Amino acid sequence: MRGRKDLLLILTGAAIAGAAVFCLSLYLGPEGLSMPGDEILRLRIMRALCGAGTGAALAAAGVAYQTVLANPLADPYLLGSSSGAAAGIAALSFFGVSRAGLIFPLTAGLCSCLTVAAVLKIAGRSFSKKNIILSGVAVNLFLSAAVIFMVSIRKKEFFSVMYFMMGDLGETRLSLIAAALMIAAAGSLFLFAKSRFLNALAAGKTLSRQLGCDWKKESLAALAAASVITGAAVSISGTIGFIGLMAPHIARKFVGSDVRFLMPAAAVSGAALLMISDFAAKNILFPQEIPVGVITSMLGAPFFLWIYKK
Amino acid sequence: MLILIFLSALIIAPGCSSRKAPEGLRVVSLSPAITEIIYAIGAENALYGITNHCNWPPKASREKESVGDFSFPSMEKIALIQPSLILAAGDGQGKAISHLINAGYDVRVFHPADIAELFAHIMEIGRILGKTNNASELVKNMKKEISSIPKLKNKSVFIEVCPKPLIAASDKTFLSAICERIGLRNIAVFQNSYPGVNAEWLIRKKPDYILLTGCSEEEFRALHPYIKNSKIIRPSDIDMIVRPGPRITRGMREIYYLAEDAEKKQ
Repeated sequence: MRGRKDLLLILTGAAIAGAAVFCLSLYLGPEGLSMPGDEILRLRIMRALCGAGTGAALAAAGVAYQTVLANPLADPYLLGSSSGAAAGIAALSFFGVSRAGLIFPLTAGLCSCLTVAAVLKIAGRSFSKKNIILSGVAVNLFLSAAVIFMVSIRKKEFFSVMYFMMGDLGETRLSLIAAALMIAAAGSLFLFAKSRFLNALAAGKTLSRQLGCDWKKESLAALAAASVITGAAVSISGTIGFIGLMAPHIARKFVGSDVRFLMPAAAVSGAALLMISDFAAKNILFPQEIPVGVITSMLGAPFFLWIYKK
Repeated sequence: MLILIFLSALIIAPGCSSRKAPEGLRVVSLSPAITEIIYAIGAENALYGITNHCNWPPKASREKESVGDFSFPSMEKIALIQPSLILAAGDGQGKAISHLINAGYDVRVFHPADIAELFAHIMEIGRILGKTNNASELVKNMKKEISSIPKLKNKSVFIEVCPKPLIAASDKTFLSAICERIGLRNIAVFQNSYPGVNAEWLIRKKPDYILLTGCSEEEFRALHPYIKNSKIIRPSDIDMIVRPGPRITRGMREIYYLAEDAEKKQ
């Protein structure tokens, strides 16, 4: 058990490492470390912002889902939260709504909330590990089919939507990025403010009741916040799997389960993990690009199995 | 008894009796470009089915039965037409073509890699449909038209097919061949026809022109605000250049003038 001072030191170290990865992603390209031209630098700044913001948001949502559902396998992707958000975005695109401002992250957040509610309802009251994941898989498949149905009707959007479903950090519209990241930041701060309740919940429902927490209301609020954060992240970067699963587990190894420390450490881990994955996605086959979700899934699927077997 | 019923059902089933043309040639075109060629050589009487995308000439969609999508045509509609010949484009139709061949249809694929091959394909379609003279007249006119289009000097182009993800038409495509013909060298030299590319690479390559085929200029500018050094050109009717058919001459001329205008504006 580490002391408060040690944990703060670890957090500071993690923040410095995260900042270093952010800077590296600006100056490290296919030709190695170099000073890029203005246009390329701006492009990389946008990409790094999307990567860091999305990674941190998905990780924060992952911490909340894992803690509230007491399920180490819970993740925005596996719970269907990301697919719900993506289906909402595909529906907006289907009806020709232009991608700008708050409407995309907010709709994605709402659809994400509804999807998680549906998954939990299907899983039943027990919230068992397997039930939740299986319900998530079923809902994921249903929503993917709905998205494919929509793009089959509007063929013009086919490539864009399909690519979006595999994760893409190439968003350059500042208004959309700013709106999504503000919503994600507000949701993450809300969850951080609920650290005391989440810690109590991690210790058991009975203890949380003894501490005077309205277990049901607080759990619902935390799940809704995690879903809104996921929706905001998906609205700029598409569905990126397993960051919300891996980052909390990596952070837990260093700072333990105290949500006050776990949440920021996971956010930094998620941001760094996604920026590193994006670097690989951009440069492995340069100048061709691999969707970043392919890289995170290649890392995340074995990680999932490892956690599942533990 | 059951065997006899089964055999007689096989004999009278419409899908099975449709292999032979009952009266003359019954053609289904699975490509908008081929439909345009058939109309241009005056062989539309033999055409019985087209795709949802065959919108030129405008009367085509009014006159002919649609068999559905370009990539996923309806096998049932095709069976109902009872075609003796199916003409396809090949690209993006692999699954449909193999299903049709397995079902016993005579399928011919016309996928020209360059302008010379397009002329050969027009002649071949004319020969099959009994319109050799019209086909050779069309080819002669197209050759004359193309030879009258001036050439740009030492200019490079990036041909956009989809803005997000950024997908290019590589040097292996027909689109690239028509650009080369008017003096636009394609910077996308890849093994595959339509590679997804990185925006950083495009900024570095600084092509003289970006030829848009998948979106409007406003949309491209909004999605790629940092790609500033290239002049953007977009023909009024994209179908004229993406379909290897009789209208490419108009498309090529328009690209040339758009490029020249963009050069003058700078």
